[in-house]
Amino acid sequence: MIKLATILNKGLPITEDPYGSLAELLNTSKEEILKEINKLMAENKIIKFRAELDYEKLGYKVSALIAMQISINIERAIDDICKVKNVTHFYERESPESFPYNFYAMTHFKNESDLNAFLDKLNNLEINYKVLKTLKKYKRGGTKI
Amino acid sequence: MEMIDKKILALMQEAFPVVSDPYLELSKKLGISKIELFSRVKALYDAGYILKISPKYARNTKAIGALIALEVEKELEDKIAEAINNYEEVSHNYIRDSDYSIWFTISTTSAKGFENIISKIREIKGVKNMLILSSKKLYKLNVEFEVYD
Repeated sequence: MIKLATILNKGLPITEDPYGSLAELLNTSKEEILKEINKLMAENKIIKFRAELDYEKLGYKVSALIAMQISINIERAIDDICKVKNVTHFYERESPESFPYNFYAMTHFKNESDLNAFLDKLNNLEINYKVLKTLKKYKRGGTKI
Repeated sequence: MEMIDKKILALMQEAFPVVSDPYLELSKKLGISKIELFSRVKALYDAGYILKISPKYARNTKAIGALIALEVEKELEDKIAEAINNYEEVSHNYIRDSDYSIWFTISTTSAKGFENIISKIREIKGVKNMLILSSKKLYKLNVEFEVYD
C-alpha cells in the first residue's frame, strides 16, 4: 500500500476522526486502514505514531551540529554525551583526513549559555570540536517505508 | 501556553493511539472532553507547535547513510540547496555556519544508489568541494523535546 505510506509521511489528517478521514482519502474503510497500520506495526516496520513538534516554537532557538574528535576515554565520552537531553542525534562517522571529526551530535538549546555549558562539558572531556550552527533549514527529517 | 496544552504536546509527542477514536482515548488520559481536546489540538497545529502526526519507522539496518557537506559558490547556495531537496533520499538539509555551508543526510538502500546520487550532486553547478561522512554507528536518536521547561 504505497499510497498509504506516502500519505502517512505527510501526516494524519487533522480531523476529529483521523483514521476515518484517511480512509476517505484512500477510498477504503476505517477498519481496513487500521488493519493495514496494525499489520505494519506487527511487522515492526512502524514503531508507533506520534506528533512531531516544532522545537523552535517550544523555545529551542539555538541549534547546532557539533563535530567532535574523540580519541581518548571514548566509551565514557559517548555515555556522557548521550545522557544530555539536548542531544537528539549522535553518530560515529567515517571522516576524511581533511575533516578529522569522528563523532557528530545534533543539539538544540534554548539559548547560547546552554550551548556554552555543553561545550564546557566537551572541554572537560578533552574533546576537540567544531560548532556548526544551523543558519537556515531547507528540509527536516522525512523517512519512508 | 496553558499547562493543559503542554500536557497535550507531551502526550502526543510520546505516542498517538492507533485506535478507532484516538482523541477519545487521549481525552480520557488528560481528563478533558474529546471536543475540548480536539479544539486545542487544532489550535496547536494551526499555531505551528504540532508539525504533523506521523509514523515513527523502525530503522532500516541495511540502509546506507552518510552526512554530506558541500562547499559551494555563495551566490548559488540557495539554488543548490533547493536542487538537493528534490532528492527523496535527502533529509535534514540545512545551511550551517562554516566554509562547508550546505549539510544534509542521504539514506539509500543500495551502494549503487548511493554512488549515483553522490555523483549527481557533485555535478550540480557551483559545488566546489564535498565531504562524505559515512555513518558507522548510531548512538542516540531521540527527537522528543522537554515541553515543561
